Amino acid sequence: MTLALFYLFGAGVLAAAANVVFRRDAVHAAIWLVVCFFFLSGEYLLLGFPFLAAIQVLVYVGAIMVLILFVIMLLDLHGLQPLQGRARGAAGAGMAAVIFALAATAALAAPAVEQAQGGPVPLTALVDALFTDYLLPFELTSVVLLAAIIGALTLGRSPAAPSPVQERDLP
Amino acid sequence: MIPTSHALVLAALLFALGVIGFLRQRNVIMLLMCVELMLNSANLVFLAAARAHGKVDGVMMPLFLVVVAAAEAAVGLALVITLFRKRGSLDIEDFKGLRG
Amino acid sequence: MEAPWLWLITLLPFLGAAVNGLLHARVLLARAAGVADDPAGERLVAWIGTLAVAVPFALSVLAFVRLQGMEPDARLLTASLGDWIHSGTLRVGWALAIDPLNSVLLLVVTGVGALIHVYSAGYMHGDPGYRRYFAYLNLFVGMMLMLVASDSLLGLFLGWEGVGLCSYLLIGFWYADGEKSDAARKAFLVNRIGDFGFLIGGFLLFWGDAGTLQLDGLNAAASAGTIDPGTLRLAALFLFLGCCGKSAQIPLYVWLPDAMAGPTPVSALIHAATMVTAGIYLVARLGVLFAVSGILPVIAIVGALTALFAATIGLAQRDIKKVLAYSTVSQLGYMFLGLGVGAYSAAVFHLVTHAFFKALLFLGAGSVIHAMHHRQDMLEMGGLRSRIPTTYRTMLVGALALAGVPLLSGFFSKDEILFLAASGDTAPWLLYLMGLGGAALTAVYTGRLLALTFFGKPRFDEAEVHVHESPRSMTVPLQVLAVLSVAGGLLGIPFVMHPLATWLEPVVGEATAIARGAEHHGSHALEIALLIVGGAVGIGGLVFGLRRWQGDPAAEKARMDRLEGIWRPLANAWFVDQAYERVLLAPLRGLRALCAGFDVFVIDGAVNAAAGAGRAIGERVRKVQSGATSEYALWFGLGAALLLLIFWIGGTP
Repeated sequence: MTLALFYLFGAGVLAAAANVVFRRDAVHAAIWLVVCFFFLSGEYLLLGFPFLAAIQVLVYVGAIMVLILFVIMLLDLHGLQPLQGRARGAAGAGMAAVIFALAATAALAAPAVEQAQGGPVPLTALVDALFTDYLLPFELTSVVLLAAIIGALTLGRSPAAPSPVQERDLP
Repeated sequence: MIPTSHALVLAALLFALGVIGFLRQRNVIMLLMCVELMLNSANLVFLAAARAHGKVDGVMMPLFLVVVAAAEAAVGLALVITLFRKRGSLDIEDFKGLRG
Repeated sequence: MEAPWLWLITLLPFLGAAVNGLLHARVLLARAAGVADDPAGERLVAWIGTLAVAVPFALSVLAFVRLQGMEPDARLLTASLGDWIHSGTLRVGWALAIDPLNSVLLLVVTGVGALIHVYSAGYMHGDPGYRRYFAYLNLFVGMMLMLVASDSLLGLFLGWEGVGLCSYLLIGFWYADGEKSDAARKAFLVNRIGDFGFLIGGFLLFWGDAGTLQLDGLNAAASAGTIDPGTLRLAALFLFLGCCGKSAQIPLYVWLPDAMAGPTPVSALIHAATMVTAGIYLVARLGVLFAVSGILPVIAIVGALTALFAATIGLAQRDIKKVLAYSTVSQLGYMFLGLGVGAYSAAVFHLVTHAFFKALLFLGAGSVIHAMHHRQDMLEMGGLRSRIPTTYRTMLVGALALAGVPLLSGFFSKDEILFLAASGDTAPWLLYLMGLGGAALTAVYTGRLLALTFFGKPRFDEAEVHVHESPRSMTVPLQVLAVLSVAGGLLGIPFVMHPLATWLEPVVGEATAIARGAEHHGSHALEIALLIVGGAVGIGGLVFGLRRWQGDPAAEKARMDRLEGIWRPLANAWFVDQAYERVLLAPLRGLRALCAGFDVFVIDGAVNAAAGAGRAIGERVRKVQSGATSEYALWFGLGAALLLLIFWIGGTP
């Protein structure tokens, strides 16, 4: 049963991803990406990581994808004529095939460390590790996020808009 | 039970699709989305490995990757907006200023 | 005995140099008093400069008195500021050590130096570089004191290089004049050759397991025989090369005659109190080392050769300062002759008396030049005796001392050296005759100098040149030095008193014993005979010189023309400079041209070719940087694929 669902969701992931890759319209692609992420979160659930599945939906679908869609709407790309032609289609396909072949061979050739000590990781173990061994990286991610916020603010500000400081200095 | 290698093959396929997309798409936003695809394939690999070994470290990476992806999306989209304002275009082929 | 105040002796001149050189004393003066008749602040500068040497003189006297209060064998004052270098077995400190030998040197350097400062205050009046001049002068004295007072070869070398630098600065004091700055460069470069020898010598000593750079330690190691004899001989030879450079001996004497390009008091300082005595001091200081090394005969021969050779040149010079310069070279030769025959205390004796009368002669010459409005050619002087009487009288004393007229200081010191050379082990009579010949020539050219300058009729236009006596600040040092030139002989009168030799005995006794053997050569009868001969030669030469050159210049000129074959080489210093030019410098210039060509064609060519190749390659390769992001991504992906392939083939790490 689990295995059947795994293949089903896997097929969904690939189909949605293919739509993202081959669609020209940005809005369509974004919506297919959302679909892809839902299927992926299903895969996580099947693998035994319900917490990660929830995060996947919340952060990716709920935050990142909404942000992307928001920007697409903001720039009004939906109505715009989609860009024609491909950049490096053939070369990309060839190289993707090479990478896939190599990675898949490696995956299939990997020694089966299956199941003996394997299995899903309980959430409590995850949280314990997060606040002990991984405390420093955890804190650092907050710095990364802060930097990203400031960077995004600085980049996104319109050059024409006067800064608050200048406004205050005016008589 | 799901064989680990199958999950890994799935991840490889997903990554390959991301590569194809990154190379054939011309819209900068699409490129960002393709990068997200590749990041997610990496997540899948980590989780598969975490389950195979029953170790918590494999789960930790996707957690951080999600954060990084969020930050990347924020900065990337801000760049997209700036670019669009300056050039009125999102075609990656239009941005060739850093030519040798 | 520990005596930290010794540092004041060396540091005060540096302080004076810093105050005069770095702080603008003129501004200070204007703020403090606003003296109207001295707008340039010269008086303050001169006071600072002179006090910075006079106080160390007082302290040197104090050190001398302290030493005198001790047991003869324990006479030593030390002052240490801590480690300078401490690495492995090498340990060198910032330390001074004053024993009887360098206490004498300290007195001479600071005493004569202070007099020269007083003299300079008048001589340099009105020079735009007044302040700079006194700063350099202080620095010079400070470096010399560092050289003399240091307890290690390294500290000595520091002062050694320092006086070289300061002589460069002072000889080229009027640097706007190309000839003078050339002379400064010449002095510096020739000194560098000697300094190179000094360095090699020092390295060899350390390499030869001396294990220390302390001067006492080196002497002790040499006498204990812990230094390999071959290395020791080589090291001593190289050190002596250094002495030849600093003390102007053959073959490195050529800088000293040109060194008179600087202000005349500087010549007095270089030639009498400082710098040139450094080489003598080094050999006396490391007396045991040199005695054990077995190169003393070399020193004696070089010294005797120089004494004779330079005296011949001095005979034919027209420039009053050049006569004195060659005379210095010659007198230094006597000192080395003394050192070379193991007469260490006699050499130091001559050093001291020479410092007195040569400083006197130079300062007197400066006074003459001052009176003649900067004319230096003796053939354009004459008859100055009655016009500048003080200068004449004092210079006469100096000249008599230099010529070796009995009962003056030069007579005793020179004849002691000659006697010890005649009773030494190394070719005694040859060395003695060379020395005696030099002494005779010295007396002749001294007489010639007096005759041409002070006697006869004036050979210059009196309406144009208003001869005037120098100010008191210049004549008083002359008088003091004149007294010293007479009284200096009291330091060592044969059979009567030897205060200097007794004083130096604890320091140079061991070296003298090694060099000359314990028993005394030479009889009293011989000594008396040589004294009489020396005195007769001195008086005879002087009288001959005085009478020969007093006649009218026209006849003199005719005589010179007749003797042109002898005179021309003498007047041109045996063409040594020209020979150096042909033999050493011309090949060097050729080598230089060769190197320049090599640099331009081979080295620059290689560099330019590399740059051109880089540019050409870049021109082709730059197209890879297309600016297209997707293309970069393609390359990036290819790299990733390659990495995967490598992992797959090589196995996952």
